[in-house]
Amino acid sequence: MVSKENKIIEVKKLTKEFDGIAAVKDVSFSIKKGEFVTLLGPSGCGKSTLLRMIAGFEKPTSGSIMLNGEDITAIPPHKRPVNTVFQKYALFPHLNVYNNIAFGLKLKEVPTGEIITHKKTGEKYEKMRKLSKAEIDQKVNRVLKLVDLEDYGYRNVNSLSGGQQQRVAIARAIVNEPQILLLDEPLGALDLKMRKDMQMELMNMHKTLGITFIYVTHDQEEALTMSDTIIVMRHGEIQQIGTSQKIYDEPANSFVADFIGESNIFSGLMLQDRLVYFCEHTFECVDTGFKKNQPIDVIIRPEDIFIIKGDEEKLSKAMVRATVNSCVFKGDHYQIIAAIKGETEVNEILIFDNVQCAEGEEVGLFIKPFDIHIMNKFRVINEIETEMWDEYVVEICGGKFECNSDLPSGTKVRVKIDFDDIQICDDEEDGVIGATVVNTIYKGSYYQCILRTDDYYDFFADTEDDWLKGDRVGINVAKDKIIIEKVEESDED
Amino acid sequence: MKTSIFNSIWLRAKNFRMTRKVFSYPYILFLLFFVVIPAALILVYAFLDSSNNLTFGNFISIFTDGASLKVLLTSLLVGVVTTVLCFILGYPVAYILSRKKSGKFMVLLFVLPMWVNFLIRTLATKAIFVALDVELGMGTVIFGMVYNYLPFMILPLHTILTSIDTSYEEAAKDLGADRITVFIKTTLPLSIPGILSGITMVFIPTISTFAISQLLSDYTIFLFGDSIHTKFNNNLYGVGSVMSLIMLIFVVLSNIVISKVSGKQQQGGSNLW
Repeated sequence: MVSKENKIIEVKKLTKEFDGIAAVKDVSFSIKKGEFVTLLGPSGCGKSTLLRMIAGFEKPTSGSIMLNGEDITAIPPHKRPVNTVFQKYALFPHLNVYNNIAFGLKLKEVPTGEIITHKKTGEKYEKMRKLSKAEIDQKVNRVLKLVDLEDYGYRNVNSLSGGQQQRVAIARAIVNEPQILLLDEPLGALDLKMRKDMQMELMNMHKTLGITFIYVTHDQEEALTMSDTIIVMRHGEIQQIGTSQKIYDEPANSFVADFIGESNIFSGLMLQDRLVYFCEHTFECVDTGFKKNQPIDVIIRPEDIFIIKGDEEKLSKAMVRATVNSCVFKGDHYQIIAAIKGETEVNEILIFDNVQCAEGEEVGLFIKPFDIHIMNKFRVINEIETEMWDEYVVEICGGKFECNSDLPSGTKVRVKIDFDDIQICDDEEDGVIGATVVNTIYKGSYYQCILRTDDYYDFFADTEDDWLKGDRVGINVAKDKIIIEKVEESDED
Repeated sequence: MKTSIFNSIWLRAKNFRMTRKVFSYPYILFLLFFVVIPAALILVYAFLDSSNNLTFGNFISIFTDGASLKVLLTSLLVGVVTTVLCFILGYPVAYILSRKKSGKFMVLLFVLPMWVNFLIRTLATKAIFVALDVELGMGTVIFGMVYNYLPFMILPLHTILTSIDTSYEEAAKDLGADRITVFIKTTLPLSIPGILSGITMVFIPTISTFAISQLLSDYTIFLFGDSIHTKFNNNLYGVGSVMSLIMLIFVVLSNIVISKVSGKQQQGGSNLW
């Protein structure tokens, strides 16, 4: 357990809504002093909004932010002891490098140590003074040295390269000696080589300065490399908080697994404790505590699958057999896609191993029980509370769907639709309602898409086709497939 | 023979290509007839007396005539006062509108009077002053100038203020600046290109305008533009041309000064207008 004094920042039930739509939903976490924490998630997951609330640029709709045990939710940004490195640096174009860095120092007031008693009220307070020119000079030169830009003080900021501007932005923030340094995708605009170098430099800076870093990125590799703790976010909610190792090895759900590194995700059934069924085979695993025959997601990292080659005798010892579809050399390993053929379905599996395989070759696969990760399904069926529009017509997300229920108009109902009963059509016009594809995850033999309607309801749909993220599509549901249950008025409250 | 001429025309027509250069021809022609040739004529007339003999008399008469110099000085003064007033009135308006969602529409309201012919506007202003029994003079002239040229100050200022990335202000706040310091240390310096454009757009037309001063002062105040107008009306082409040249020099000078200042500014928004 983290002791109370050790927490530098604590976010409690923080929510931020823009025009009634929540960008950050009921988020709570705390950060230890000196930690390097990364907020990780795809674009639009609310990570930047969360950072902006900590900086003070956005006012939370509800919830609070505590800094060293004090509530700072209502304090304006210029009075918070935090500094930000902005995504596009936001260096002042009318000032040179030196003056950009000195900007904060020139505004800063420090106590002189002299105690004054107010003549009228008798209150005692410490006299404040501005920093002297020599002090500012010394501090600026020190950080210029730290970011390796010693001779650049009098250069115009626009004459610097992206990487140099980045360093100035960091120097401008750290020169104020903030308690927390906030970094909003600071390396996003740099090329790969530059980014790798800056990652190392930032990590070194974190070590030497001892300041708490809160880092926002959508780059999972960057997060895994740099952070002590990663907070994975999606749709404004925290999916998982943990160390890099833990998030990679034990993802909390299929979203985290898919987002962090490559993985194989299959739908399966938990037969009993330590026994799971997927890809039409039964495997041993180490997970317990699930219900019998509970539908679950199985996650296996491609590097945790071993290939067994050889004659029939060797192959018979393998857990499953698969046919190699493709094998590509990736520098330090082979990326192999193999098909596990079952009686009714064919599942594709991604493998990283250092043996070369020929296309069409039959191989055996071996997976350690420890490497089979079992996860609760986020949702097993689409469920929406709505009203009947008319007899045999139900309203779902603003669209009118035909159904088999003769409940009268206005009856409150709960609609259930199976994932694979949702038909997606290319043309938005062809569907009863339109939606945007927000995510697709490959599950071995099919794709699971998340479709967001204009009412912000997320439909889960299993399809044969890979739908592009961000595409507009139409949704249809056959009337036999809509399951309607009447909601009793009593259980509404 | 006949065929060869036909052929050469045919070849030329065939070789004619619609390059980008072609699109500039109409404007080059326009520039030639309505800017270059008239400017050359002014230059020629400045050195001719009434019987078309070469002379420097026109220059001498202007620079020794106290009345003409006084008109020039008054014009510059009116120009400076109008520009300063337009800036003082225009900047807060542009700033507030740039923070509002409805800002674009509000700016349109400020620009709307420009859709009415400026003579009609000025005559109407005069009628109001007369009805209110306000004495026509320098005060009313400056009012008329500010009224006419305020939109030219607001437009470039609004454009630059809306184009300033909000992250600069956030960065300043983040570094410990309160609202007033944010404005003085970031917004104001970053809007300098817009301020310069606004000044150019107001100052130069003000010193060269005519009619506004005549109408709103009941013909008691003559500005430089007015006197050029009178000189040409009285067939004093030589003196009128010299005055036009002086005007031209002032316009060029103020342009050079402004571009020098904005050149120092570097970036921070390209030159508007």
